[in-house]
Amino acid sequence: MEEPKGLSFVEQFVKEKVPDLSEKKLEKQLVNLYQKPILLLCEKSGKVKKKKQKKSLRQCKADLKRALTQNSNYAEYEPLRKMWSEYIREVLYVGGKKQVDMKMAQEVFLKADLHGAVISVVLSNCKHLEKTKGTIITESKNMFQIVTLKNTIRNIPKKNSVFEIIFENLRVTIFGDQFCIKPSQRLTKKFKNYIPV
Amino acid sequence: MGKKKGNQSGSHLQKKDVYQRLNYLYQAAHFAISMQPVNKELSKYYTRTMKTLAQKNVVRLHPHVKRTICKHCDLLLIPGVTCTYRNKGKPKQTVVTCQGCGTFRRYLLNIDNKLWHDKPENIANVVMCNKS
Repeated sequence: MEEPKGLSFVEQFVKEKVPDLSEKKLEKQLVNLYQKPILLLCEKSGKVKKKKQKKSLRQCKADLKRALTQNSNYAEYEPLRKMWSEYIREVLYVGGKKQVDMKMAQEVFLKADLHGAVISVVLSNCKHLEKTKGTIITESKNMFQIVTLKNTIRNIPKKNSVFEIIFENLRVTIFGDQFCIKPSQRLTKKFKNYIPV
Repeated sequence: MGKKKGNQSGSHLQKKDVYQRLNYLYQAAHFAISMQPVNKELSKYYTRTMKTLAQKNVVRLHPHVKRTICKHCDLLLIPGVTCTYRNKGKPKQTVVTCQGCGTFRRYLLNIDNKLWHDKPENIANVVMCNKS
């Protein structure tokens, strides 16, 4: 058989009809013409859209850790402390009364939000944890995160220690062993009136 | 939270402490953005506790409040600081894109569109919070 001169009819047909073929690809296709079938519809190299996944809890905590090292100034959290004292004043003095109901005050502090409170450790098993003081930034199931007066951030575990909050005339002691609950679940939980052995 | 609620004489609000706590967390999230340097992770943490609180206690958030929170990454959306507003055409709409994660929300501009919460016929009672 004589070799055809130039492009044969079939090859020219392929070149016209298949869109978006570069020269290298054309050559490959023409070589395979005599052995394999050619798809005339050009397949788009489509970008498959991946669904954005939400960040896992672990990554969120790592991001928080990294971001908080910049903002460890104790004086910057002043407006947070003011907001907390106003919030608790509204909750304690119910109905415009001037005196605090002592029975209600216990329940109020169990259900209240503690972000922005000034807290101090009174007793604990670890001796070097005592006498730390600061404002609470975040709260999780087992830990408090605190900004201290010396402009550092410390993580304090809740177990095996006793905390204290001072607000105007009141002094509140919190036993950390009974307090190991997520803050969002603390509202619905009922606390027992005795301390189990 | 529902609209700002308070106590008229006779009307009772169940779960008042939940609403007060949600209110406080929302303000704390605004404070976290105003710090220098800007701390986006802290405000995300506060809005996330807000959402889980509302979920655990079966309390619905007002849709105007939900529209200022990004659905994907839980950032507070403040125009100019953390999000961008753009107008596009055909059909005319406003597009709000979050700068943290890139998700956007579209609102069609239509005069007849009104939220159910905004119509004055559907408001039964407005209660104002007590100030001591």
